[in-house]
Amino acid sequence: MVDDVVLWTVLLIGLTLGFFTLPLLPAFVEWYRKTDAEPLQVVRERDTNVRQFAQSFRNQLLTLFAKYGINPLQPLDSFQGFWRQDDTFYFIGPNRAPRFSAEEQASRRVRQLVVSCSDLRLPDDMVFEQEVYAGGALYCGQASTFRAIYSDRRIEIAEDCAVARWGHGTELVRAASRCRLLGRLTSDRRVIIGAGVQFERMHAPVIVTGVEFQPPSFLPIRREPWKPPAAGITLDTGTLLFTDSITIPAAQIVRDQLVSKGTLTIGENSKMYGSLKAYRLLRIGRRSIVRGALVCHGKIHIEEGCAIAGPIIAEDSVYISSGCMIGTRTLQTTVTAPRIILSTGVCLSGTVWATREGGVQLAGIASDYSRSVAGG
Amino acid sequence: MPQSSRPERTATQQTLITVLRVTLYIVVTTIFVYMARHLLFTLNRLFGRQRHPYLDVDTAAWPSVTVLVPAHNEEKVIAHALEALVDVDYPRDQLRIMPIDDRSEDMTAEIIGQFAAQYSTLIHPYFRSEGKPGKAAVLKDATKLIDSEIIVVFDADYIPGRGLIKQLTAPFFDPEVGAVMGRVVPHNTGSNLLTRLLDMERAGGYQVDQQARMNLQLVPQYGGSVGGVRTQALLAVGGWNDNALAEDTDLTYRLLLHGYKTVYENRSECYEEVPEHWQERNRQIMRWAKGHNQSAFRYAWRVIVSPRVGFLERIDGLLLLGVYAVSPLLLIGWLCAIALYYLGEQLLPNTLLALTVMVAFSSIGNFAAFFEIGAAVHLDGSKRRICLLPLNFLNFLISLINTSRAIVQLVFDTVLRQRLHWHKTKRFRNGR
Repeated sequence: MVDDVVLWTVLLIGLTLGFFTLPLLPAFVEWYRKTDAEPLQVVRERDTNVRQFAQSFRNQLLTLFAKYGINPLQPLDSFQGFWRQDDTFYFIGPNRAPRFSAEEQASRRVRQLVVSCSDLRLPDDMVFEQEVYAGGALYCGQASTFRAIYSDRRIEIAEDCAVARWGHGTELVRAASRCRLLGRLTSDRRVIIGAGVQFERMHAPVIVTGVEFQPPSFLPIRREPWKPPAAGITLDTGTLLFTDSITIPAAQIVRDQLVSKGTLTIGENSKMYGSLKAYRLLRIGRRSIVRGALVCHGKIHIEEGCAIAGPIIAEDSVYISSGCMIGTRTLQTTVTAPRIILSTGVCLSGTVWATREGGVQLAGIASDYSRSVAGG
Repeated sequence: MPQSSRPERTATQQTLITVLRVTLYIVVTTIFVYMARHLLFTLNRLFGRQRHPYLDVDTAAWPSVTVLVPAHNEEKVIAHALEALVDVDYPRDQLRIMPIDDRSEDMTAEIIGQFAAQYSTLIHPYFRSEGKPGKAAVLKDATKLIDSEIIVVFDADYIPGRGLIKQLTAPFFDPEVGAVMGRVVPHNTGSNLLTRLLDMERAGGYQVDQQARMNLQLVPQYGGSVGGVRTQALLAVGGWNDNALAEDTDLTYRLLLHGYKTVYENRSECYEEVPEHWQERNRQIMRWAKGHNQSAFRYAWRVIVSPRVGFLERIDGLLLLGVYAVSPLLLIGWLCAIALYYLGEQLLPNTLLALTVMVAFSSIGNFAAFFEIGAAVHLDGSKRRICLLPLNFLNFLISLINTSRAIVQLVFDTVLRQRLHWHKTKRFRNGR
């Protein structure tokens, strides 16, 4: 009888413990085995370097040149070799035309890295699955698709081409109409992109949309110092906050930083010394000058002939009209938004980063987008 | 218990039961509100629109920045922080690094001196030999020596990445931003169970809670380290408050009340060291709880009445102020429920419903924060560490007790006008 009581008691305790412990078993196993105890990976080297991929590729090329004894200054016949693991490369001797295999020509698809130490002119309508490098100028054929392209001089991307990952031309990158530049496009000097080009991220001391850029001409105009309305709340010396929309009349000089929780409209020919922020829409009138940054939770619309010095940051979209100059060669800046539309005839210095969609449209042709922004 | 067999209650007993019932309902309602908040944040992080508007600014005329690194007996870690800082990607003519030796008794001052000699144009050390103890007092004194537009603060055990200063500075192009906070990532996760639990807790706090508040334009919190402050805004709100135990929370609320925003940058990550001993962890959480509740007493009413604080910011600001008051409230709720049970009170009409409610409340009410941890581990791409989540119950219980203790101590300290002490967190890393 006593034994039964003990047995049942032990069983009860055991079952109860088991009942509570069983769900914790995976926790105890993980605690003991430590299969996932490494710290979260924080990449210390991530320094927002837009040229990172291009630089890394060039370093790999230098290793490849050293391995195969390639001297860009000496004449060398074309040959093939191995690059990364099983990937092959095709070296094109100086000033020779590329000769792709019959299979490659038939399929219009090149699966190997293409390397040339001089100028390189590629045929139309091909797909290059690996990078293409040219020590001289690189002329991309029409309607071709590239994984990545690099030139130590200039890159000319013909109409209807696509670059999937990145492109870098030391002196110049020029993308003709209707190209799709899906990754990073950089140059140490200049990028020129035509109408209808789609882009994601571009960086250069000078980025021009369209064929040419006409710098804005600021007429000698008399500007009045702006008198802020009483509704403004002073955040600190030099920053005014408005809980509603506000419009700055034309030809004003504003030395404060302005924040509007609605729409902030700057009249044409104004000169703004501070940064501007709006929650809904930030509209900069024609031929205005802004020395600070433009920030908006919604849309930013910059009308013709403006000069903006600081970064332009929008959480919805940015539209920049023709004749605008964003940043300068010596004072480069950033334009960033999920959606960026540049009119032709815009000059930017620094970085343009459309996180979802970027495009160039012909000046004077109002798209659905620009109409929607103009409507507020 | 059947109504007929219940003995007659005295008036005192009846009053006690009423008080207990009302208290319990208040507790349950409060926990419900926090539960809704935790779930909202979790869902927002998993399915909502994510805001990182300033992250992509990589070219600009960068403002002048001074990086402050307060250090008191930090010989084990200070060299690592300075090595990382001298390597950051920021225009050298706009950057100044100011390690602050606050009366260290170890080799901290010597290590700082060596770095200052090696990088004399970049590192401008401040050797503090007198003054009030505590981080806020140190920052207050150091700020007097600064003329830069932005102040960035790192603890001595933090190891910033190359792009971190730019990332933390970019939001200040927004004229409304007063402070910026980056994400803290523990690097000694594998040391023991405590560090692993704290790693998950931190992930929940930053990856989900802070980022959701950023997404919803609520009140992300400036955390005192891996963060920056606009000098002009800091001065406009009265500088660092050296009477505050949690100077970071204190500053967040003063900026909010003044109309400034605090921005959270989830992808601006920096390694830190978490406590490896429970005793150290208890001290840390008690200090946080005291400091946070001190801010709650100071600013709760002002958040309610301030015309500069938006409606949603007001709600979130109050809930954020109350987070360290939830633990004692929960404890009180549990005690009320037990007392009512023994007083023969049946809160729900039948046992099954009572059990269901209890289980539901325990899983999604008391422990709703665990949803944030689960979501954070998922978002971080971690795999099997989520198995440890049930063991966080242990951490939760210990924190509950210590937070409650801290509040009791804070009340006594306030009543007895005792001076609050700032306890420095012990370091566990091996120095260079």
